[in-house]
Amino acid sequence: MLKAGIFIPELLGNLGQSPVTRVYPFVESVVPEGFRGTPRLRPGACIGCKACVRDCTAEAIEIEQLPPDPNAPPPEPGKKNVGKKFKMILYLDRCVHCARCADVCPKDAIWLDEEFEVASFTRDALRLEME
Amino acid sequence: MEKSVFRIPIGPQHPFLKEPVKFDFDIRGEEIVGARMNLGYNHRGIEKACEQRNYYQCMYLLERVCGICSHSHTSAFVQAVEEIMNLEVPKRGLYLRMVNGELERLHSHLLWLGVAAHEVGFESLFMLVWRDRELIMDILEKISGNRVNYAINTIGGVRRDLTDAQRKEILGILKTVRQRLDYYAKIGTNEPSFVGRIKGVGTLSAERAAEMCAVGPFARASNVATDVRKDDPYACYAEMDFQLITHDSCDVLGRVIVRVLEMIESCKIIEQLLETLPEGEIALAKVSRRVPEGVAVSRYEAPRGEDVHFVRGNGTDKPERVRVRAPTMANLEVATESVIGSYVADIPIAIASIDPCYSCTDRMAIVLRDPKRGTEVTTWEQLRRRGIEWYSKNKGIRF
Amino acid sequence: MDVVKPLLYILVYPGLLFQLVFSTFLEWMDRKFYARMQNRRGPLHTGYAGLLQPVADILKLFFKEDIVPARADRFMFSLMPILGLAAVVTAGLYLPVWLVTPYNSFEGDLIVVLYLLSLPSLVLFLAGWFSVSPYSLIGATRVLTQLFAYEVPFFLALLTPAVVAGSWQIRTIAVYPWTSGAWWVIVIQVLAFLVALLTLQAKLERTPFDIPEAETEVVGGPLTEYTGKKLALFRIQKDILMMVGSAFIAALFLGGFPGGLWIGGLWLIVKTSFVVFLLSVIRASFARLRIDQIVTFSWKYLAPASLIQLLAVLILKGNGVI
Repeated sequence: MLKAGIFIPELLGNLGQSPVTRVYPFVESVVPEGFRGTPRLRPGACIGCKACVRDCTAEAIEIEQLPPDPNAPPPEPGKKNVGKKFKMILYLDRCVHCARCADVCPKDAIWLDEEFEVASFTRDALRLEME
Repeated sequence: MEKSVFRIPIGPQHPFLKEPVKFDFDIRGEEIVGARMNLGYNHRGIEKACEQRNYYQCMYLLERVCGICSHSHTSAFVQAVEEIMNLEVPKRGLYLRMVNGELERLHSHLLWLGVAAHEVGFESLFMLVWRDRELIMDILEKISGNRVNYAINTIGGVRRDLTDAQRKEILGILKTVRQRLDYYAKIGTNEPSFVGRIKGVGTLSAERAAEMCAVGPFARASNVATDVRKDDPYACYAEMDFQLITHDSCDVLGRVIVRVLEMIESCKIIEQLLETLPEGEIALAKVSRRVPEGVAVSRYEAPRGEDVHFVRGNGTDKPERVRVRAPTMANLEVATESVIGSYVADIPIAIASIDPCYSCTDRMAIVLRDPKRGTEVTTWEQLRRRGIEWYSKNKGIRF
Repeated sequence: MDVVKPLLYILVYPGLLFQLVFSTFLEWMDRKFYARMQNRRGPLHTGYAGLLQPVADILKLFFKEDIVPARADRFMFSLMPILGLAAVVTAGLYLPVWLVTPYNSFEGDLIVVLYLLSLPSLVLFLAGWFSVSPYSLIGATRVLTQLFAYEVPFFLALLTPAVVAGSWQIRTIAVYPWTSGAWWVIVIQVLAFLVALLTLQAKLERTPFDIPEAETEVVGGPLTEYTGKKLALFRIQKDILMMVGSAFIAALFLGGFPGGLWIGGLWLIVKTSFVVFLLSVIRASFARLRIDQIVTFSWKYLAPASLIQLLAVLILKGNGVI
């Protein structure tokens, strides 16, 4: 059954409604809870197992050991790694935000924030160092 | 070529193509008398890259084969790996995987409906369909954490559970979506200018579709009852009550009807899944990182048709070979052929009716020494000699 | 003064400047209506509520690189945009607005306007023909095929009010419902009004009649190779054509714009906007027709409808009802 102008009532009805488009850059946009944003490191929680480096899809993570803190107390004998500090270098331009690093981390040291406006004019600004 | 036949090139860059591919159409007046298709403008090397990554990395890499059916590709891959490893995935995990898959089918088909409307210049339908597609996209973003690359699969289950509040919310939104789908089914089959543009266009007979192994809604619209969910049920599709939609009009109108009705079926499946969602774990707690030797072929009904993944494990944590056959590969050739006999104005909609996805399909092809085009292969020795001659002649250097 | 006055008519009012301003306003109106029907916002940021967006679009084109294809006929390629613009602006001079001068109103000016309004399509065809590219050639032939389809119903539809008023002068036809006291003649011409709307849509090459420049098939149609200033001139031409066309339909079918400068000006804006609104409803609610469908539709429905209307009017006229 063909009916000419079957779409017109819907279109005229839309005239009375307010538009659904968000005026995005001028009005802040909210992402839902659990959005996968930029990976972050909880300070001091990293034990340097490099599971995240091994599993990172985009090979965007590097873990480096920080030089030992001269003021720190000497490590207790028999315990490994205590007192050692690590930093994570994240190449955000490569990151695909899959959250595998957060999944694989045995100490839950990595979490993802809800930041999504991460574009930058230089690549260097996207090299994040976290301790 | 005859004098009266005029060749129009379409592509590699053209407003109707979203990705690079080359078509050559021979036209007489406005009628198409010949069509050729040439792939090979994309090379992404994903299959090769998989061989150098472990299975978890591969999963997220393969998600990026396609921007629309990202869940299909991971699911197909994960199914293959689970088959090699003989894993029993918890039922709740499978259910959630299916929920995501059906939501993806909904948003992919809505996207296609919008694109089809755009190809025939029906901009209002395009805008309104995409407005309603946002409902599905919002659900997907809420349950998976991203709009496009859901990353919800993992080997042995899924990564995110669904809360009860989310479950109720999805069921509520689906009611609105079903109303809208009923409305679009009405518009798509009753608006004279739209139906006039898609009826009898790009016809493909059932015999030819079966012969050329067409897949997905494209084949189902030619009355070929092929659907992996029915033919070879994976996950828990055998328990679901849904219809296999076919249509016998064999043209673009049939493809519109098949897709819209399939979306309604998808809504039904999601409702069943969410109402009978079993309790329990969503993923296996401990999965070995090493995959034993073995091969598996996994079939998955992606929104565009049957998606096939082949995985060969060799006992390490990296696959030895991964092969992806995206649904467009099966459909593209026969779709190009179906354009012959139509008008120039029908090219975009006839090609777009398979919901093409060239970058998923494309692999690199190198033609060495093609006598027809006169290309030659220069060996290293010839190149060296030619360099020596050129320098001794032009620069006077003696070697 | 004898030189200055005509120049003012041509360049300021109701000539080029007035037409530029009014036509960009109408384009904004059209875009806004179209967007709202699709639940979008439309132009928003340039000027108040995006009022200056059409102007900004045209200005942007003026600063773009101007390319003439190597194999194109340089002279004809550059001449076409100017010729098309000149034709529609001249047609606009005959609008029955507040000014009455011997330049813009005389017995038979309707014929002149119809002729001038046919020129843009021919210009578009020649523009496509001389740019020598497969897409422009296909677009150009489609322009011409479409021209043959809609031109006859368009003429027949616009002749109906002339027959009713018994005059070939637009000003007389426009005020006929008021002067004769028979305001109901507006109602009995509704069929011709609809045909005129649809054929104007075809003349403007907007959906459902935009097959000559269907971007998904032939890129930009006849204008594929045009860039920069020349494309901007075509844009202006299209805007003014829309304004002139809808103003003429408003004048001929909706009772003109009586009442001097201010009230007449208000009528002009209201009635023309109403016609533009109807045009955008048509644009929003149909898919693009194929060229064979356009020809069939025109000759099967539009032409007979306008003939029936003309016949009805003639019978009424013969019986002395009008």
